[in-house]
Amino acid sequence: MLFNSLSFLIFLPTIFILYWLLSKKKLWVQNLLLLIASYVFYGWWDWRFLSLIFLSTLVDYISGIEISKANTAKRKKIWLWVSMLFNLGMLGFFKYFNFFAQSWAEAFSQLGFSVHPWTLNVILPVGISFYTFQTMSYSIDIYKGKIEPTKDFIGFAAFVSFFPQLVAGPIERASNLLPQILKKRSFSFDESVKGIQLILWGMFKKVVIADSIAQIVDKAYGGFAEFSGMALAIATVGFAFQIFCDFSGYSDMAIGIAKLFGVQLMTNFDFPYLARNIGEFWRKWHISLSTWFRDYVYIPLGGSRVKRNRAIFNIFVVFLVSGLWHGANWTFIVWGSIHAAFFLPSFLIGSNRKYNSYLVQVKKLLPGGNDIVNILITFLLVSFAWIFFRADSINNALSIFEKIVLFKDGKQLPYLFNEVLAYIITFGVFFLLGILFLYERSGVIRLNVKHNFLVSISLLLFITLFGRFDEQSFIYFQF
Amino acid sequence: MRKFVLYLFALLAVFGTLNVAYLLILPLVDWDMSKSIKVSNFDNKNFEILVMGNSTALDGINTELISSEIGSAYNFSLSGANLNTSYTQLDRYLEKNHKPKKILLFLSSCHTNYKNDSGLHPVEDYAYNGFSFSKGLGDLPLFKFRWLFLENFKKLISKDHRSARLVQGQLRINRVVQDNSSYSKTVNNCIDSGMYLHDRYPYLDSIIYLSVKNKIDLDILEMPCWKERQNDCPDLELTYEGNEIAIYNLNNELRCKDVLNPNTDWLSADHLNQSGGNKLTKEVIDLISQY
Repeated sequence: MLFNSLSFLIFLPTIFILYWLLSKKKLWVQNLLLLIASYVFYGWWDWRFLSLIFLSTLVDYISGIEISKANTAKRKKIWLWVSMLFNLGMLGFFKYFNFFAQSWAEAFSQLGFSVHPWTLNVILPVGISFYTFQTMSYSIDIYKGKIEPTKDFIGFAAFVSFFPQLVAGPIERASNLLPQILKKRSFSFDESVKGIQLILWGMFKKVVIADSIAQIVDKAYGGFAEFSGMALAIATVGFAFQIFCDFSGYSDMAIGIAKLFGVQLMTNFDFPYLARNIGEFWRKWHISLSTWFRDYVYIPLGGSRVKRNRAIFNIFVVFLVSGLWHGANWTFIVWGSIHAAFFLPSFLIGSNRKYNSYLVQVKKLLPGGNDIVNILITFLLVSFAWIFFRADSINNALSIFEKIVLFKDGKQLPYLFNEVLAYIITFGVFFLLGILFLYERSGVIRLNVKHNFLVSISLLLFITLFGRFDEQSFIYFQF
Repeated sequence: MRKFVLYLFALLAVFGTLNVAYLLILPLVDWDMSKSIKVSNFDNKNFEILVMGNSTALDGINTELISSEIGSAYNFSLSGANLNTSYTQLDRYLEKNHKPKKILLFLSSCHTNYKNDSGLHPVEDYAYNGFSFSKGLGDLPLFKFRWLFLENFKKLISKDHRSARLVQGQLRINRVVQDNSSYSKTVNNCIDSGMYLHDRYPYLDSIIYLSVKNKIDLDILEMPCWKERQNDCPDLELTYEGNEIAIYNLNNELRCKDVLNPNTDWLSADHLNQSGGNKLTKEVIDLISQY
């Protein structure tokens, strides 16, 4: 079930009413409703994959308890491995089996051996990369003694499958979400009003901005050979906005929906295109995934508190794995490597953590000239890397890049006065509201209920006037 | 919770009010809406020539000129109208008004294919049937007439759009966009007359049937586009139950070269401005006067 579908428009209010009607009953009844709702939400795509979520839930539930009660380190480790192998095995089979089989066959054929790869007709279960990472963090945190396991199976299953963030994150940590699921939630007017605003803001970003830019990006990238360098450059910048609005739009909706149910999810995007270097970009983009890799891959590898060469190796590992997480294609691995290469200089000179405050603050209402230059440079670097993320193959990405830098001639993007006017209006609204939310986030202004009402009604208006309602899926569902 | 429910109701109430306000404002400011409502109220009118079509004919056919040269005419064309919409307009006009002598039906093959286009134009639907909520959320005025927001927004930023006028159903805009494209013979393939009925415009049948049944002359005319979309196809003649219907190709490259100036007569790639509309209308008058 998509957030931008009619079925969800019926589903959400129904569950919301039932949920709060049951709030006076026992907690497990409310959690059971949440669990059933989440399974219906997920089963709407393909009910067969519910078994995978259920199995993942069961394995981690048991592993968590066994890790906690194991009296030897070896036994703890065995149960941790059970959880890891099951989750990574499932992810590996459904997401990476064909990729590795084909890559091995290609590698052998380069060496002169003819190998026919044995591939399977496997469908990728939606959201598998998100919920497996969420459940793995539960087992790891118990192993490290950071959290205690729960014996409430229904509550745990509701935590794993919590529908607002099940298919595209934020990838929640058990330490944040599970305690909220296991205790009675109370309704908050202010949070719910904020939730409605976030849902509408996310919807606006998805159906007004992302889905309309997708028309240009798909056209240019689909037939890049005939388009000019300028057209491809515009499409690439367009993709930067498309993927941001698509993915952060989903996250905003997820966070907003969770608020309606009295649950606070973590921030997943924090104005990433206002980052002043790549290090800051990665502290603002897909925060739930980058902190996951930081905590469960980078730091266990030694992080930066090792010899320089080893630290560089650790950085590359994290970025490569992050690239691979996005999809079983070499383009994602190259995308990760490019980010590693961009990150490395600031790491080596120790400026990667230079920017830790917001661009604007109470005593600094406007960004400085240096800030603006750094933002533009970072945006250009990130956009360059997006070429590899969006292109179908590395060769295509290189051809697109070549056409852009050499200003090659070719077809221009179609210019339609009405479409340009629509872009000007909708991007105007997007930037204005973005600035408003930036000032709110950085504590410069505080939006009250009346302001939120005005923002929500404006968003509703522009979604109705400019939204595309052909139920286009979210980009990150494929990951 | 009660406060939140009230908040949601307030949100919906304001949104509903905005929808109602939009529906009330549109007939006052929008050309298509005001014209459609006016046309739906026509009673006992006695036009000799009816001009039907979409926005290309709305901008490009000067009914004032036709009225002064041949006989009283009105331009019923509507932006985005398909053949089903033209049929509905004609059918309802004939119910309450005198039969015209001639119908000029303008098509625009250069940018539209009517093959799968059977829905009724939302503005036409509203003008004749009023507001209904049969399609649920799709009937919300802000959604149903969403493109009109942009059309009217143009008036805020463009003097040409602000100074445009509706005269006898024709929308006169003075804006000039030069046609810098070039003609390429290989782009277009001509079709024979039979294909108009069966392959290309299946909904043409109903309009032809209506005109034949009511013994009204019908001429079909293909509107011109920029040079890159012009063709070298000839005029055709269609025979329908013994009646001959002329199909004039105004998109013929040689005819366009004779009649239109690429530097002064265009509003966009397939729409004529006031100057172009006058020239094309004179050509239409010459053509239909020959027979």
